[in-house]
Amino acid sequence: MPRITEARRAMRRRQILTCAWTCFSRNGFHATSMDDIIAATGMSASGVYRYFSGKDELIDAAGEESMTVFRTLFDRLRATEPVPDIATTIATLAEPVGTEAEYDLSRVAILAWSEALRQPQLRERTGEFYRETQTQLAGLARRWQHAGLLAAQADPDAVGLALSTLLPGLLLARHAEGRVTAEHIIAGLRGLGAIDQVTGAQVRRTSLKH
Amino acid sequence: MPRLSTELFAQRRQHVLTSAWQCFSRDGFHATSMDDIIAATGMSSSAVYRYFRSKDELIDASADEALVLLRGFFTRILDAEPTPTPAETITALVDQLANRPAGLDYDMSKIAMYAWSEGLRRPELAVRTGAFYRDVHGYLTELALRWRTAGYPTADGNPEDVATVLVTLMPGLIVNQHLVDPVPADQLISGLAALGAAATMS
Repeated sequence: MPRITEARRAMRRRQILTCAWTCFSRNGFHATSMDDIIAATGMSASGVYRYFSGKDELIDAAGEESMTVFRTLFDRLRATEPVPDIATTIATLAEPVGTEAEYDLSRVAILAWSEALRQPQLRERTGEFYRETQTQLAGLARRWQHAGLLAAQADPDAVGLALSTLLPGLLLARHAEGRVTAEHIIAGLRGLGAIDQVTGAQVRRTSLKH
Repeated sequence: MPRLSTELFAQRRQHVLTSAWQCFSRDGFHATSMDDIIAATGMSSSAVYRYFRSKDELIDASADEALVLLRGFFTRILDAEPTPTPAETITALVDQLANRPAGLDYDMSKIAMYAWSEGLRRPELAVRTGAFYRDVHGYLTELALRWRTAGYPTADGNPEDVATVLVTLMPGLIVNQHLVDPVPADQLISGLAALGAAATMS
């Protein structure tokens, strides 16, 4: 058999990966068998196994890819000048990522969370990824402060934490009925504006006036 | 075989459920077989199948139980006098999702994470989690309405939107708890407040 070129190898690898993601995205990790993936590629079993030793390796690669998509998104936000404002950032986080393809990486991300509960390695990588996300968002918050979009006394790390805590809910909402839009989130945040300054006593006092 | 009293029936059913939750929160839905659950109950398989016909039925019942737990939580919040402030509510929510009650050998929030995955491929479960979401959203809207009635200064936003933010935070609290670091409530509150103030400015 003639040796295939490096470029062709990379292309085949990519083809197997997209087929695996399509299967995963439709049926989840567990209900997808190696045979399903092989059938989807249209390649021979030995051809597929030359690239990946098994389903676990493909699951790892799928988790990795869904993180890469988000990393690219954060890099883009970071590189954009002037800094994208808060509403634009939340809208970007709430928008579908990678759904233009037949596989949906936000579904893969959701599948990866539950898989990470059982696989220490994946858990570690997912944990790292979320810490990285918080740092990226805190970096954006600092830029908002410089641009006068966020109060100077605000804690950028706290803002990064709040935004990153919204992220899984935004992903899940994308696959539920009644999508959550950035407008709803912004309006809701506005309503929660001064929550750190209100004490129970204050509410009691004000409620007495009614 | 003598018929079981309703009480005993309910007790046994609950025992099967908690046994299933132990297995689910340890191994997930897929790596748990009906045989694993039966072994965990210490009952005979025919006895277990009298209560639940399949693993899917047990999974659905788990989603229902998670809702019962959160319903209890929100009822306590709504019954409290005076109504807890948004910050107090968020702190209580963080505690509720992060700290599993002592003495339980299962973790409902892990089961919730498995249910999100499973819901992607099984529409019947997605219907249940959707109903769950609407229910929780309803409680939070009611709470936000009370904040407004109580004259809470900035709660002039639409109570439904306030509820949307809070309900959207919940999965993140669970994911952080299990895969990253537990979210500190005070930092979350200060981050939300800063974002809220910024959203008002713009």
